Amino acid sequence: MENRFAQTVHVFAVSVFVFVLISCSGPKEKIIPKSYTVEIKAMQFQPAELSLQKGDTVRFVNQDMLVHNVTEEKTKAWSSQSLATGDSYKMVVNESSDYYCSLHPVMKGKLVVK
Amino acid sequence: MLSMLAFSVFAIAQDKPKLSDPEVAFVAVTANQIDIDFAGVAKQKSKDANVIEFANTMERDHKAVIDQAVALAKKLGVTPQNNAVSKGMLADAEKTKKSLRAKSGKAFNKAYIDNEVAYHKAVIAAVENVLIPDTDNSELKQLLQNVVPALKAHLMHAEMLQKNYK
Repeated sequence: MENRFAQTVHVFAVSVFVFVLISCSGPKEKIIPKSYTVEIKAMQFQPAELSLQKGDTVRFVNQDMLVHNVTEEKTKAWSSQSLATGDSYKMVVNESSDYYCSLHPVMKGKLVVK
Repeated sequence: MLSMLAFSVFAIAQDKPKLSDPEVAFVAVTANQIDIDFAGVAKQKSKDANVIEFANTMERDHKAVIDQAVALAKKLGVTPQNNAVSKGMLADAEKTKKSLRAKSGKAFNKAYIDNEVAYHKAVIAAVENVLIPDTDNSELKQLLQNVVPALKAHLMHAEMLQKNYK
């Protein structure tokens, strides 16, 4: 009887140890991607520079009176369609990039992946 | 020559007594239409991709402004009214178009972009110093205020291109 009790205690102790071990050595806390908004208004991207983590989402919303687009500046690696007033374009950001509106090249913005 | 013509837009507007809202609306539409017409000349005369792209942007943006001005005038029940300022602007624009059409090649590209710089400077001054102060209706005033950043972006774009056509 006593032996059986000792066995139970032993199994319980081992289980707790294994649980603690798994808890400590498991994957680190998962980072949940965040969503950001860049407004296009008064011929500007606002904010003009946005710092974010890889995998975060950014949504560009045209609140200006004219048609705009959002285009990667150096190689045109990515581009939105033409955005009329009220239209938006959403993308997952995987790397830093400079972008601009190809219709109005003086409008520029920057995504900085930390 | 072209710059002097463009600047007279502002000179005419400054010398006139206060414009009524229907007159302001007509001047605003006329100023936008004139730049659309300049763009039309550029698209006929130029083979330069940057000039054509700029002209397309001017056409699209100024047409959008006209559409919004016309929609607002309709909403407010205002009939835009022709006046001495808009007549002067149109007369100047005809002279400018004639001068532009007489040029070709690099000389045309330079003249068109130089005129765009001068014209946008003059229109920005006229909108900020004459049209906005003269406007009584708050919605029309707001529309004019909203247009200013676009005009300034056009000016910066033209100045950026101007460096290529010296």
